[in-house]
This record gives sequence, structure tokens and C-alpha cells, in this order.
Amino acid sequence: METEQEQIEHAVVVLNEKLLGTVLGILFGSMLFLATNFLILKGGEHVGAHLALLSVFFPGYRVTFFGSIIGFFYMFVLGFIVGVVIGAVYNRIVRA
Amino acid sequence: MDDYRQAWNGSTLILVCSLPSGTILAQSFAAMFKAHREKNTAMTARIQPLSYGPGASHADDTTPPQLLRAVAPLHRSAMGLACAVVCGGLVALATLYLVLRGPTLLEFDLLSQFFWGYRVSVGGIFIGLLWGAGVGFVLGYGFALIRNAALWIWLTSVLSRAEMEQYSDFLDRM
Repeated sequence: METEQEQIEHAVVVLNEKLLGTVLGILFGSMLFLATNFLILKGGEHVGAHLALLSVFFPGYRVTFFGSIIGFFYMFVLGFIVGVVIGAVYNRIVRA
Repeated sequence: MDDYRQAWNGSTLILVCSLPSGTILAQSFAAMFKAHREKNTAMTARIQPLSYGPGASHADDTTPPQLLRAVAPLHRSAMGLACAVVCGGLVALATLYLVLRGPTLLEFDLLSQFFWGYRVSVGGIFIGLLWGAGVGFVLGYGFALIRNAALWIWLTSVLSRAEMEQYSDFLDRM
């Protein structure tokens, strides 16, 4: 049984893995969604020529409005996985 | 009051000494909270109900676990390692995918501008893993450090406001 002083000394935040995953998922997804639509609204000769290269990793992704929705889901999944892994590794180390 | 001042000055010193340990945040806060609770009955009345959840068996002089959770710092090394695993893994997996897939329009080799020695090749997978892990560790560690510092600043402002409230009617009582 730890004393209060020991409890205070050892107190660190424990992360909620799924919550962190959801937050990062929404953040990542929104970033790609907004970036894609920003380029679409900006227009030009070659709209999003570089961003379109993401389709190498995310099949189906295009620099179009529909593509931005597909990109949102891809990035949401990626962000969720990143969040869950960060939370799991962090918690494992903290609880060790 | 002396205890309170000691804790306060000690925690200020800790920040000046570049926040050596995240747990010191909680320690200094707990010390300040204890001293504050002894001196300020009004504040205690507001905070105490938080500490007694169903089934809790805390003596009067223990720090409420909810309060500890609220002000607990992030473990910097753990956050650094977690981000290292993720960043290293992402770079390695992306490289592996590109190696298996073959040439594409995507010039992932450009990462070598930042990651010295990196290439889209089998060897590049391991080099990318190491570079990604290194960068991830720095990012995660830095994030935790900044978050802990921000928490400390917030706690300091809350406590200083509480202290000012406590003594706001000082002249009225003379």
C-alpha cells in the first residue's frame, strides 16, 4: 500500500486509448478533408498535383470533393490506429 | 503560512530549473493544496466533496485521487517512446509498401533531404525506422514537456487567484 507521498510522486496521466484514437482520427481526417477542398476552391491548372500522390497509399483518393470524403475516412482510420498505438504503448510503459 | 510559502517558492524554483521531473508538478501542487486546505476553509468546502466517491476510504489529510488525476503530468519518456514506435513504424511500413509495389510517381526518396541515408529500398526500411523513431521520440517528449509546462503555468495561475481571493478581504478584517 503506497503512502500518499508515494502516490503523489508516482502520479502520471493514463491515456484513454480509444478516445485518443478517435480524437486523432477526426483531426487527421479533417486535415486532409480541408486541405483537399482548399485546393479545389483555389483552383488552377493542375489542382492538387502533389496531394493527389496520396492515392499511392490511399487507393481511390482524388483531389475532388468526393475524394476528400474518401480521404477523410482513410485518414480517420490512420489517425485512430496511431492514437490507439500511442495510448497502448504509453499506458504499458507507465503501468510497468 | 510558512509551509505554503516554502511550497510555492520551491515550485517556482523547480520551473526555473527547467522542470526536471513531471511528478514534481503534482508534488508541488499537492503540497500547496495541503497548505491551502489547512488555511482556507472556504476552499476546502468546495474541493472536499470531490475526494469522497462511493467506497472511497480516504482519511482527511489525503489528496483526493480525482485531484491527482486532474493535475497529473504526462510521462515524458513514455510519450516519447510511444510516438517513436508510431513514427518509426509508419515510415518503415510506407517504405516497405513502396518497395513491394515498385516504382510510382511518388518520390518518397525525397525524405532523404531530412533523413540522411534514407532510400526506398530494403535497407531504407531500417534506416527509415530509426530516423522515424528518433524524430517521433523528440516530438512525443517535446509534446509532453510543453504540456506539463502549460499545466504548471495553469496551476500556478489558479492557485495565485485562489490565494488572492483568500486574502481579498484582509483589510476589512483589520
